[in-house]
Amino acid sequence: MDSGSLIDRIRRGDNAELQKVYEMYRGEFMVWANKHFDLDFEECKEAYQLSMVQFYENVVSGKLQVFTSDPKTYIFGIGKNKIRELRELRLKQPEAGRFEAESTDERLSRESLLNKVEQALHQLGDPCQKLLELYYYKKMSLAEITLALEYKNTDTTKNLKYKCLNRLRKLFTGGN
Amino acid sequence: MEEKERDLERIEQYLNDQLSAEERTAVEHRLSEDKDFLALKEDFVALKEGIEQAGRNALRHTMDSWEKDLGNPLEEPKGEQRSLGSSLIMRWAAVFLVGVVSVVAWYFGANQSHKRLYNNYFEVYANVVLPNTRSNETLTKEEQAFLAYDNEDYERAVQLFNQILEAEQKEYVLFYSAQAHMVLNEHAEAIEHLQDVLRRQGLLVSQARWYLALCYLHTKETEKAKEQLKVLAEGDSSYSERANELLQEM
Repeated sequence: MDSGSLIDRIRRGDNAELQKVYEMYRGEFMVWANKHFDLDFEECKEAYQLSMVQFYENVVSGKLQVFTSDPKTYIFGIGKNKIRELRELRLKQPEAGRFEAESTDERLSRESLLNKVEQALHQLGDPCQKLLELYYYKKMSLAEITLALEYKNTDTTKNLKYKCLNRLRKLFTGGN
Repeated sequence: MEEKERDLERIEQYLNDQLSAEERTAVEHRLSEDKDFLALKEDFVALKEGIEQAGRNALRHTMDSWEKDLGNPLEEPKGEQRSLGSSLIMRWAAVFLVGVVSVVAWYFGANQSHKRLYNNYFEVYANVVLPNTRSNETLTKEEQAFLAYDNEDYERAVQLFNQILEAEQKEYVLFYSAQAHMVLNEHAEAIEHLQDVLRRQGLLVSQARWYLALCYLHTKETEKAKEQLKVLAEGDSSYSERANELLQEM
């Protein structure tokens, strides 16, 4: 696998490429996590998905531009950290579900705030939802979004982005 | 833009460190004096984080859909995983099958009106990425390429697009380079670029599929063109209606 073009393709939104990577290392990761960290199937899946999400975010944010080793070593490296975080949560909260930790009030309030934004985003619907997701999560440039969503030009896209953000804010705060 | 929208833009520029020292001081002063502006900044941070969380959850949801076809490797004997090798074999088999179908269609001379249809439907895609407003001296290579494209100097545009592609395989550069090749009647090169865009399964899938279908129409590969058009016709992109029309005319 050409790792340079792999990163480039995933960064450009190639979901098929991400799926290929997901499927390629999934089995090996789960067997490894089960053997070395005593995780069951659901926990292995949770750890693997969290690792793949982190891998994806590192690619689109530009944090990962080239592999210093190979994709497997990189993903397993993330995986080790994710498993450690999950195990720490498990130790803190032995009575809850293995990976469910009791959140502090502050954390709960932050979670609830972000859930409210997420709900407002769904309420907002497309094209605003799509535009904001492409810009803020998939880290696409205004030029790429203009082309993908067939807007007139990048200025139109930029203005629309702030209109959408303001509409989302109104839904979120329930105000003006 | 409304006042709040302009304020959101300012706050984003401030948080991304995109302001001059003077502008930065002005924003900081306003943050300390204006409670509404401060609240707007806090809202912006929450909105951005919330959008990121929504994106993350959507990705997890997509991953769950991938899980449906995969077993439990902790129970399966080794070798049950879907391998890259088998998927490559399937792809080659698909390519071979598509090739055989195309040759048969070509052999029996299915349709003689390819050129007319192509001319009726082909319209070069407008530059919506980099409208050029600056003077020629200060343009980046990408801006020069799009300026040549806007000026209908497609040979120059192709040269510049190729130089950009040597450094980075940008999806939209591949797409616009394909457009220029189509105008220059270089459909083999256009097909190569459009297939590359399509393989990425990114944001330009519908656009690439439409122009790929037109390229196949031009090269008289009718079945391949129909195959792409059927996918478009069944989808909900802005090309769906046009694809349906063209299919009927074929």
